[in-house]
Amino acid sequence: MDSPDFENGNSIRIRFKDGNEPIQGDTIVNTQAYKDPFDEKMDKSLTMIDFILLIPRAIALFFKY
Amino acid sequence: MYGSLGNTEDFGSIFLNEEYENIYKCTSIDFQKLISLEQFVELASTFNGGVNYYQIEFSLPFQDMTHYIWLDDQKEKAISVFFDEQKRIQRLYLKPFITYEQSDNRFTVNMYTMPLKGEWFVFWGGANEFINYHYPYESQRYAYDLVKIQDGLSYRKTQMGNNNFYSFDEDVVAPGDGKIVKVVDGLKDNVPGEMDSNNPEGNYIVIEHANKEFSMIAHFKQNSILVKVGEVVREGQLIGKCVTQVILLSLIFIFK
Repeated sequence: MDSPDFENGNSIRIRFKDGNEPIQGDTIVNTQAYKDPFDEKMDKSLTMIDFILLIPRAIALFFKY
Repeated sequence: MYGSLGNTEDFGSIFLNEEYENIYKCTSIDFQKLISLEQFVELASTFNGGVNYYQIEFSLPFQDMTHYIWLDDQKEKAISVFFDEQKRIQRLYLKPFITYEQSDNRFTVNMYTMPLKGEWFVFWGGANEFINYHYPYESQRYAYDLVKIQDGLSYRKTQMGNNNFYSFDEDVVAPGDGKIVKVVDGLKDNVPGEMDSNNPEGNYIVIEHANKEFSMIAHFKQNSILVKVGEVVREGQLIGKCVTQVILLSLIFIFK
């Protein structure tokens, strides 16, 4: 809709992320998993930790050879 | 005594060939109670005026029936027929075919997902009134009514009581990132087959998305809404539970 007032707003044809526009008789399947913003942040910070840990490992490998 | 139409896909030609009595014999008892043969013949003859041929526009499985739509050569008239498994006509509509080109070509800037998880059946949805009863109304033209179905049925054993419907108490999620701008909760759940004419949308949420687009999701279970006005939600976030049908009003999702 183009208004928060659903009785007076205009309906807009929906673009869906999967590129399909279902119609009557279709079966839709939504399997996308929701990721909590906190978990997402943790995932990102873990990636950073992994990256930081890689540095001493790389240095250790350098001296080993 | 029921008649026989042979191939259901030939209905358009049979109708144009004025085989009205044969068609009438293939209609359900309920249809025949609504309209007499004489009335049907008169209506059909008038409808066929000026038509050169009918062509199938849609052929869709609809639960245990098949829904066909034929359009005339001018794409001005539509015949909508629901055949059951015995090729009996359960519903037949003869109506002008009206579309709204301007709004049909206006799409949302943002892209969305359906506000549900798992498999759902599109009960109403699409860009004409024969497959989407919302279509004639500008404010809900591209709405979807969604229902959960198993083995062709939306309920277990009986339609008595909301908790017999597969959709009942299912999770409803945000169709996109946004901010909650309206919440109506606390309305009593409608009993199947009955509607609160003062509040046909039941409990609902309106979400403001980017680009001044809004989604309305209707028919939440009483007191199940988990978000408040002003709260920011993310796509896929659980926002409540549905009664027996989900509506997305263009966004409008209606849950069944």
